[in-house]
Amino acid sequence: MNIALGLLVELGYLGIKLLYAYIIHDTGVHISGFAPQSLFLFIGTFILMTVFFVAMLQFNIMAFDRQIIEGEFDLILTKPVSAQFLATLKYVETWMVIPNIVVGLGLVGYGWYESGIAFNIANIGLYLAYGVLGIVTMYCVFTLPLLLTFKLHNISALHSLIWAVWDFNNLPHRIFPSPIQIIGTVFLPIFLITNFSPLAVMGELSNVEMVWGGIAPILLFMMTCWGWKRAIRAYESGGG
Amino acid sequence: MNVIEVEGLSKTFKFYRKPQGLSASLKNLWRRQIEYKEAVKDVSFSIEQGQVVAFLGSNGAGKTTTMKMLSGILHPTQGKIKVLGHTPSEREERFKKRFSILMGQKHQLWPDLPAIDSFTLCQRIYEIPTSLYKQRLARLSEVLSVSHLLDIQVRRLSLGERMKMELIAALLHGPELLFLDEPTIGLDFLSQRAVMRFLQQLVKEDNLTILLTSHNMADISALCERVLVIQNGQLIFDDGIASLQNSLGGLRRIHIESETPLHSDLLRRYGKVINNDIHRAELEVADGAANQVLQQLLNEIMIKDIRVSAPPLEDSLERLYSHQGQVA
Repeated sequence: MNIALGLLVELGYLGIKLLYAYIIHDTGVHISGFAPQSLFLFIGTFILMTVFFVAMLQFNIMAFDRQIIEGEFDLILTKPVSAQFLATLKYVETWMVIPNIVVGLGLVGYGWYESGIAFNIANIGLYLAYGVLGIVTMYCVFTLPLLLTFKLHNISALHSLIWAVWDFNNLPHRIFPSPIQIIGTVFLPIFLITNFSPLAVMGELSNVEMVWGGIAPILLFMMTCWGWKRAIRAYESGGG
Repeated sequence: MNVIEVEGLSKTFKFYRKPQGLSASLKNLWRRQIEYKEAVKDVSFSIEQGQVVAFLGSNGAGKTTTMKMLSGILHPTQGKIKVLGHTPSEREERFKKRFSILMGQKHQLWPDLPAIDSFTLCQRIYEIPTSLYKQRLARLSEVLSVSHLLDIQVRRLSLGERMKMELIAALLHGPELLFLDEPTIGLDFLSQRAVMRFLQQLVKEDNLTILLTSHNMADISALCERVLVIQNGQLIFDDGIASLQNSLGGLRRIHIESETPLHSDLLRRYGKVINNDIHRAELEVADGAANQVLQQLLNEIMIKDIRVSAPPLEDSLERLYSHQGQVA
């Protein structure tokens, strides 16, 4: 029953995204130089990344502050595996993401074909490599703010901000004014999550962007692990 | 060989006060009243391998904080701790594989999954060889009589059954040291007894070292040979259970059952009357006077049954707290 309800909700969200994609396609307008067909590549990638977001992060983010406030984190700290791994990737959702996988792959395939991108190992490798780097970036961008829970305990306002930030990835970041592009690429690199893999196969990434797309996720991951170690050192345990 | 060595251990927590009302909340945004609480103060003790030690104290005395420092959950503010030769605050994986902690109010099993799935996760986390895992699981689930419940969602089990499953999860990797923080809290007396009987068996067979906190004195009497008492963060007693009962002047309880009515005025001549419901009474006397009082009672009253016991552990603790100027 729970699985069926979850699937229904997810299908609803997906329906809204598809309607949005259809309207863009139907208008035939080029956005920031991208043809409507190629936008499907971005929207499809966004939907596929949503798979990882929902499957790996969403429920862990929602449950994270409760673990700290109620002291469930105590038991995690006594387990002989990485506490960061256990606490941030504890819940994995599988069933709810199935519609996103199907539709996301379909849209990426359609956008890829319509954009005339060669379907060869080099392009697939490039797309997957930036995809994996995007997943690493996504993990770090959404995990780093959680560390504030160790200090502030209640971060419900931050949750709302996190969901809002996620929706920035719906369309290519080139549509935003350049200050926002720089902020979203360098300082809070949310645009690296879903934009770089389609841009890379379309040959739209500059050399600097390609290098940054490779380095930033690694730096972010190192920063997250470092922040995590400092945060749990100061952990004061809740719930008696 | 000492499994636990603690020297000059202290833990101070920082906290904020927030007076009532909206204006106080606004004021707190830029200026907060910071206070410090010394939860544990200069505590030292050691525990040998195979010992079962009770860690007693009233709520907020510092028991759980000490246990959390011993298991590496909290960093001490001051002092040295060695547990199984490791420094707990370093949180080494090798150390974590050698002990287990069970907290009565916190659960490690996933409520939506059958216990067997959580046990499989424990097997992976602790890297237990499959044959050893199966052997231990079969033994533990049989002794605790839960073999038939392993494939039922944990949230559908009773509290007692859940606690037994938690015990299995804590013991699957064969720890040398077990921290038990109120393991029987909320359990009915049958479940309490089953858990305690199981722990007694475990201590006998596996030479396990146990540090146990509990407010249930029956648990303590059944399992522990030594008692540490902490009050306001300070260790105020460290000795055997018998010593605790004899501390601050040994006392004995005489339980009398009579066919004729028992009069409190008469009983008061021999000692303190704890209770008297006409045909049954309980009298507290000095340890040295018990034999003499017993003989006098047998001469003066038509006794149906009479026995002598040590006073309940709770009374000894209360007197100890009183003596420290801190009546619980």
